[in-house]
Amino acid sequence: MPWQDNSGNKGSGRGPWGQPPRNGSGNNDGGNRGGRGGGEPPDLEELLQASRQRLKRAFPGRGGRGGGGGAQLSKPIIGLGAAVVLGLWLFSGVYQVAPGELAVVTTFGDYQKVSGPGLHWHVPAPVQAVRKEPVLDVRDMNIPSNDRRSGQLSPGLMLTGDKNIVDIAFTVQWRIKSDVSAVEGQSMPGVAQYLFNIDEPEALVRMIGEAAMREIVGRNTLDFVQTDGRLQVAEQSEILMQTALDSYNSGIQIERVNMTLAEPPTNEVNEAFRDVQAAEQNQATVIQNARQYTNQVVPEARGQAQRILEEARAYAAERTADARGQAARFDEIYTEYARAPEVTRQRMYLETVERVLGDMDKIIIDEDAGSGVVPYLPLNELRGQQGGN
Amino acid sequence: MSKLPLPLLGVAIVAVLIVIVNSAFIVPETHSALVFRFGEPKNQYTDAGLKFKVPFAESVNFIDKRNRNLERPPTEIIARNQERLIVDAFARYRITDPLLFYQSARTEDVGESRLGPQLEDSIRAVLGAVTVDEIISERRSELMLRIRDLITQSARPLGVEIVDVKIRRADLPQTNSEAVFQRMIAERRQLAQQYRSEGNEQANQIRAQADRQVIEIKAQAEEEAQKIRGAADGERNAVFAAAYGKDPEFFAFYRSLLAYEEALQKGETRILLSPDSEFFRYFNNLEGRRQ
Repeated sequence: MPWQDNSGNKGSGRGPWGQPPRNGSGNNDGGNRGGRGGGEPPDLEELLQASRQRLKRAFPGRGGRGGGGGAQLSKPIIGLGAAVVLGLWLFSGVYQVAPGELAVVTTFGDYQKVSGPGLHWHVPAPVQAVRKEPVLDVRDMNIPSNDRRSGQLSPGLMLTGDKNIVDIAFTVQWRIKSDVSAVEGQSMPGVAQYLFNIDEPEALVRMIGEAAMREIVGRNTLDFVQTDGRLQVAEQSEILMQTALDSYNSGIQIERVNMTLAEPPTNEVNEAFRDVQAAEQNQATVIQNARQYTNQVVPEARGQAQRILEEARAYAAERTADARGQAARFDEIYTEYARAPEVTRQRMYLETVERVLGDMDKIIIDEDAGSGVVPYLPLNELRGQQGGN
Repeated sequence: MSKLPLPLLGVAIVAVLIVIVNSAFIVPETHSALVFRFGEPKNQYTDAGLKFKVPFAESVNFIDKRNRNLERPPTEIIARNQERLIVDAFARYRITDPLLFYQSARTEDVGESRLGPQLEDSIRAVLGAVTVDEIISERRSELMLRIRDLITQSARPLGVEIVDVKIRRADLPQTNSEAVFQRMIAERRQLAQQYRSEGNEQANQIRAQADRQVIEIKAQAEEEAQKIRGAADGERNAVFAAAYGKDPEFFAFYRSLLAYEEALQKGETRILLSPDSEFFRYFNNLEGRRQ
């Protein structure tokens, strides 16, 4: 009998739905089993229909064997069939929650509990139902979503507190809250809130993100948003988003807000900004050049100053040494002179004049010999004059 | 049981099922349920679970009780200082009185088409009374609360609670944006010019300081050098004075001889001599008598 085989399988601990139907009659039954094998709890009507078909199969089998005692024989068989059906129905309540998932159990639509990863059982359909949500999956959302098209204003333009316009793009990373039990003051955990309290979570995150980012950017100046404040702006808008989402009991957790772009609004403005950077570079360069000039000319001047000083010192050394030498020479000569003044004087005079006149062209004119008369005409002198002509 | 004919049993089971299906209904966590008997409201369930009604005579209507989104297309508002702003705001609302909501709007779509203009009116009323600066930065969150409170009042007859109103975007109209861009460009140009001029200013200052330092250093060196030279000259004079002071007359003689020798170098110098000079004292006269 098919169901006996089935019950035998059950006894040996093998899953009955893993086996193909033995009687293989190709009716609804097989289809239902396939459906249940996929983990879907069967609904009540289908179950009833299935049990009716089991009965139908049971009766003809009995009828074929023998007419009279059929009614007595069928009672335990019906009971067994009912037990099997009940067992199968109860087994359909087994469900598995994968790591990183949470399952929300409802009883007739009413929130019951949240169960974490592992093997669990719920009262089978239609009494209880289970919905699983991946609570550790972090989802990325780019705001603005569409890429910027050239020739059009970026959708990420927003006004800053100092009434400038900045082009902002950012990414929101979010997931479903992963608490298994409800936080104090809340009726249900985050994952149940996520399922029951809000519609269109994606759209909600997007709108809240846009509103929060614009609010924070509107509070700050352009320079701050573009430079030092990027991180701070992202953090503050994250806090603002989380506050709003919590106030809606949305069960959404913002993991991070990343600012991917904070730029001037159009190419023209961007160029002006770049020119400021270039100007800063220029400024640094001309100052650097001037410093370089200083570093060049000042040491050179110091070197020159040193040269001037050394020259002066050399002069001083030379002049004083010369003076001392001359003085010493004079002293020597004077000592000699003092011994015999007259003779020394004569000798010195004559020696000097001898040396001086020796190499010189000399013309000696005797005044007494009369004007125009040359008593001595040195030959070498005349020759020199002729040679000169 | 077994005496009953099989088809009859089937019919009975089907009949019971139909009755059950028609009387029991499940209210999900996301919705409220309204039970009407021939159009007359009989019951209202705001909690989830398995509920029952009289089969066939009563019908059920489900109304969403989640936190729902209410959006309007962006509207241009005129702020108090006559500046224009394009505001895109949204509201989050919940249907707290499903029966009231059903009676006045029937469906969520109809309800939203009534709430929409109310949201727009509230935005205009609140934002029209303040300046653009207040909307953009100073009082944004406070203004959003004011809009919420205003629309809460007008939404009350619909059985709706306004949870929150947020200004999603508040931007200048296109033409004003262009003006802002031009202003930003002008500001940047000015800043760039300032950087460049300041750079030149500092560079000039640094160069001038360098030049001054050069002149100072050289002048100080010259000063020092002159002192050194002067001291040396002084010492030279002192040395000479000490040596020559012993016999000024002889010094004059000696120095003159040195000077002659130095000054009358050989070469082109030519000298006219008288035979009567001291040098020729013995030239004509053995006794050396003066003539």
